[in-house]
Amino acid sequence: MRKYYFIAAGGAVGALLRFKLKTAPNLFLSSDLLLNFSYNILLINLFGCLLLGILNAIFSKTDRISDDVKLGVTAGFVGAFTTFSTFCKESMTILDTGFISAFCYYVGASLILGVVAVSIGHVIGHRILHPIGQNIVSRFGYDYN
Amino acid sequence: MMETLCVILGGALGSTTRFYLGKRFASRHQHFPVGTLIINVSGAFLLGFVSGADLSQLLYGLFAEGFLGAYTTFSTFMYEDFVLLQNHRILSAIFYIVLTILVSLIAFYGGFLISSSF
Repeated sequence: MRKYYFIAAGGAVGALLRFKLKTAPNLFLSSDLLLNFSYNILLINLFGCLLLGILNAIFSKTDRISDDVKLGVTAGFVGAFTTFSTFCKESMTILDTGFISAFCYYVGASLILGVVAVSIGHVIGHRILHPIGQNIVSRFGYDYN
Repeated sequence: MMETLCVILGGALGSTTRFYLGKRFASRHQHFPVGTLIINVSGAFLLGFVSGADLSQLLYGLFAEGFLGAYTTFSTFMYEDFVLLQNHRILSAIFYIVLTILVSLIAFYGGFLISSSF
């Protein structure tokens, strides 16, 4: 039961931050790139993917952080910060304007870059746990300390 | 100010609902992320429905920006796809993405048509 309080708290903060950033002036300067359209939700989602990749790589390897806190941050904060329903609505808004190619670019870029962002986050998370050089020493069993 | 409070309340309810339902589905389907699929499709349908209805700004903040925004998730969807790719299940990964996006967009449009026909 305790974990639900952590998830609710993380979710409240995540949703609030998303809402504030979404209604903020366009984060992405070239909003006229395809259409006169805000790409804030796309950037929010991609940043959340990067963050989830980093956090899951670290959390799966450490027990110094309690499971409740881990869930609060990942399932709560990052899960609520990113959104799929608004992404669908914005995709349909672009489709509604009749720009089929812009719709395909938007959906395709969101999905491909989303998986890429998770992968990059995964690598960064591993590098935070195992800084370059440290694992080479351990592989040969030397201890320079 | 009231709108911000509505988003916070909706976000807390949406994320806990997603976690609860996600866990229930995950215990029955371990090879394919059915839970997130159902959550995202149902959330897209409901957002379409809410978008077609003429809601006040406060109610839209509570249901759409808060609850449905936090109930559906993009990061877990992408992370699950990444895990499928890591396990060399390339076809499942592609199928998961295509199925989610196709069914969700249709669901959104369906929800929008239903509520705007009233």
